[in-house]
Amino acid sequence: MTEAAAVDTLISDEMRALEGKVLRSRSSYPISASDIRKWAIAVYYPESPPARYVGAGAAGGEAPLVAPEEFNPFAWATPGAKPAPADVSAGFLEKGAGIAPPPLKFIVNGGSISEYGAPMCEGDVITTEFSVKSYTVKQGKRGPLLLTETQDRWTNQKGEVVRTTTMTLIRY
Amino acid sequence: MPQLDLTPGAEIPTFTRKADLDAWNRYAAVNDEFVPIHMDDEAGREAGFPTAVGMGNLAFSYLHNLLRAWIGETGRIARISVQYRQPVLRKTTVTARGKIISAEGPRAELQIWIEDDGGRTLLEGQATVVVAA
Repeated sequence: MTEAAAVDTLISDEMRALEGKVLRSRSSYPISASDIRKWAIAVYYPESPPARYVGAGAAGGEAPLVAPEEFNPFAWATPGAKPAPADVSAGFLEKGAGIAPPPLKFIVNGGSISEYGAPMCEGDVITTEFSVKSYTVKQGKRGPLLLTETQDRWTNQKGEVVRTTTMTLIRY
Repeated sequence: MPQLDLTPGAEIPTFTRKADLDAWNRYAAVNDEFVPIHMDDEAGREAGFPTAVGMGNLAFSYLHNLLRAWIGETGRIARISVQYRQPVLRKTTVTARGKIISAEGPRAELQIWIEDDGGRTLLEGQATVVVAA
């Protein structure tokens, strides 16, 4: 398949129309000390995480815990959405936007740039605005690859920017 | 906290972990990331890999752990860019490493990467950190 043909096959007009638009905005539940502790225990396993992630926190009468920069406050459930298995299919992004996904089966993370601002603390509510920046097609060893650049901008309840992540998803 | 060596070319202390399902399942549990290729060798093979493969997000956390241990509680990670070069395979040992590129005042730029015990570079990128004055 030529690259031009691959572009036509993999990037529909509906997908082009998504470029630059905010696809999803949602807020997290307030971050709990338990969320921070469990995250830290998992990412440091099998060793103990630093003490600052596993202290008593505000609920224990101490200073609120501060989450690791890469902590995800949106895992599992968000207010107003019924807990449901995450869509881990290669077409999750387009299906979430209500359009037909590209005819590809596999997805891998090609890379990301994360910039951090205000730290995420116990009690914070984080809001995300997620958008597709662009779709492009590149030839890979196994055939055409669909590259999708997304942007996720997180702010806290005070309006401070917490994190901005630009990510490239590779689908094939 | 001892003064950090910000000399260009200086390497920072490494962060090493075994790559296998016990760590990946724990990460899946906190990040709700139950993807077949991260949990099942057959699913990994179907996707073209020799085994199940580790989460890129967990490796991303390892790079943060590397930097946090070096800068301490008073330092700050300002920016991290990574590119995923090869998948993390089961039953390997992965090591996160960093090397100073440049420093100006309390701000340092580092080359960061993760390699496995087979000499493969799995992730590589750059980080900007602000160390305690």
